[in-house]
Amino acid sequence: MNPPVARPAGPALPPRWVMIVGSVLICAHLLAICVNVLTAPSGPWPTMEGADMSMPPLLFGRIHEYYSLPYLRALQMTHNYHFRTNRGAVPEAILEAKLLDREDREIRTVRLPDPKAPWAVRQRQAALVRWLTDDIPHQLPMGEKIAAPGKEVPRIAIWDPVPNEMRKLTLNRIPENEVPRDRPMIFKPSPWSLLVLRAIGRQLCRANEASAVELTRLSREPVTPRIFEGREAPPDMDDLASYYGRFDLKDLTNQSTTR
Amino acid sequence: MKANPASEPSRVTGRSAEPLLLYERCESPVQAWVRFWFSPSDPFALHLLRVLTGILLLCWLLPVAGEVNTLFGLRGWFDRLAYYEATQGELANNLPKPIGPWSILYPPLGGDGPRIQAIYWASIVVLGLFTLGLATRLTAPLAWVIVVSFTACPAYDDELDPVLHILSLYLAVGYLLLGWRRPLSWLQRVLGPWDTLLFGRLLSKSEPMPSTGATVALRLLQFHVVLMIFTTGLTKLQIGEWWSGVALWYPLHPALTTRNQEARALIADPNSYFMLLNLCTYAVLAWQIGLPLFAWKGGWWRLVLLGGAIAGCVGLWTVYAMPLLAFAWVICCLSLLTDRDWATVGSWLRHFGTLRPLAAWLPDEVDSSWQEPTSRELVSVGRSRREHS
Repeated sequence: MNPPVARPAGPALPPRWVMIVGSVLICAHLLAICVNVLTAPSGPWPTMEGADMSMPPLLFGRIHEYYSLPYLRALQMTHNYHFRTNRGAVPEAILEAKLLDREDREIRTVRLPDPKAPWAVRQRQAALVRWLTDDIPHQLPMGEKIAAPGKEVPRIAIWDPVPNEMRKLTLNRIPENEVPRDRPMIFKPSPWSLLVLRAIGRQLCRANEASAVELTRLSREPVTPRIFEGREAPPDMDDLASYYGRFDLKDLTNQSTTR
Repeated sequence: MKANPASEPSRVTGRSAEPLLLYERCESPVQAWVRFWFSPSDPFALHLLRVLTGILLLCWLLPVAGEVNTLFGLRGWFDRLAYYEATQGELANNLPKPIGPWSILYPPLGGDGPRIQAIYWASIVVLGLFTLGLATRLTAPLAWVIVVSFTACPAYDDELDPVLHILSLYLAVGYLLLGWRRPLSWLQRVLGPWDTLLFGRLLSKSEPMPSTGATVALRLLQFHVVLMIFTTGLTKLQIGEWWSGVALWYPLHPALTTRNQEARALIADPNSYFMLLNLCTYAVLAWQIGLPLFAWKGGWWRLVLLGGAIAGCVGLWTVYAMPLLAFAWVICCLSLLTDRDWATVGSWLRHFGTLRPLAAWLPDEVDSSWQEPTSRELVSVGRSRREHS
């Protein structure tokens, strides 16, 4: 027999079958979300080859691939809650676009994010430009690549310093075998950042009726708390100007040449 | 003589309810599960979150009214060719933000030009109706569809997006489930109960009906919010600046607007400044990682929760310059409050003359049989059982 309980009875629970079905659905949903979070790659961690991301745990890999990911993709909830702003010491950039007409005369120079744009629009422009700071180190191949008969060695785009210019880089597309091996690190823009860059170039040309655009990234490393370590603050550096090159609208809109 | 509660008809079904000694049964894991997920609760919290989320969504979408085609159209910043390129080769599997598989902004419905404009303004109307609580069984799922569609573009990776997904999805679930066991007209069955209307609670003569759908939606929302905050807290432990307690330095001194000399001249007493910065950084870490431990605890832990909500809101707004995320943060934290907490707020408000009308919105003294028992109540039940046996 139950002991006396001082509380009154409350509203009824749902029927038992509803609770069982509901429990199964709730568990399945929460499992998908937890697996998605657990399979996020972690890092970058220090490795023999430099900083690298760690593999997600294999335990959840299959569940994620076949169950969690398709389900969460349909709901568009694939974010793993590793937020960008958790990393503080990342460079920020603005994109400078010089728009040219058919005679190569300058129409105007645009900066993104546009300081005159409304706040909400500027935020989205900043989100777009943020991808451009994602430079990645280029891993030098162990041997030399030999092109197939009648073909060229694949070219890659790497950042090269401009001779006799401080804090200036230019994007050079060179055969993979000609990548200089005497530099400690060689950086290149990520494929995704180049894709976004071309999309920005196309939009700027369309909006301003320009036939070509010259794109330059002006980036700056954040000031670190280490400036308080010495007696005086270290001297300020100029912005790093990274010149992507000149893009003609007809090339930007041609699928075969844009990639 | 007071009637036996077990023989009283249930408020929800109208049938004679079996005795629901929920809080007595909560010692069993199965009953604890049932109590946590399925005990009916006052839908006040669901309605409050809906109004706040609706305002947030309008604040998120309305300011870009002049740039809809440029931001979301297929002849805008991320155009048709960019979508095509993003789906080709190795890049398709390595996108930093996956392309949303569906969106009402994609063809055939969307595309560019007037169609995008029409969808945008229709979305604003739907979000307005959702905020007002009109036809919530339709507008709540549509609000989720709108959020997902306007965040599907892979070019904009805003930290607000996943929070909006979470809020809108579970509110949609809540309003789809709300009121199915009530005797409603067919129109209300399709559009949703009328009492979800803004101020409907004040105008309604009948008692608000507790709902299992509201409980399920709120619990899912709570679980997801806690998981998100806990995960982001753990992620911070992979980053050196959080260990050294200076992570907040960087948003306080953004790269594009800060120079070495200025930063050094600005801070007169670096020791005190960095001690304060360390304290704030570690407090953020402790709160986020510890959240699962106190998210569902009552009593004074509620002050820790609300303190974190206020501090997080102020920090996101002022330090990170993310006002919308600050607003979303507050909504997420408020979702963790229970009926019991809202009833407590109501009883406080009744003490203040000018604020008394607000108390009418809040749940009255909660029918505790479907609330989580406090630890003291559990102890007293255990004691009475032992004495009885």
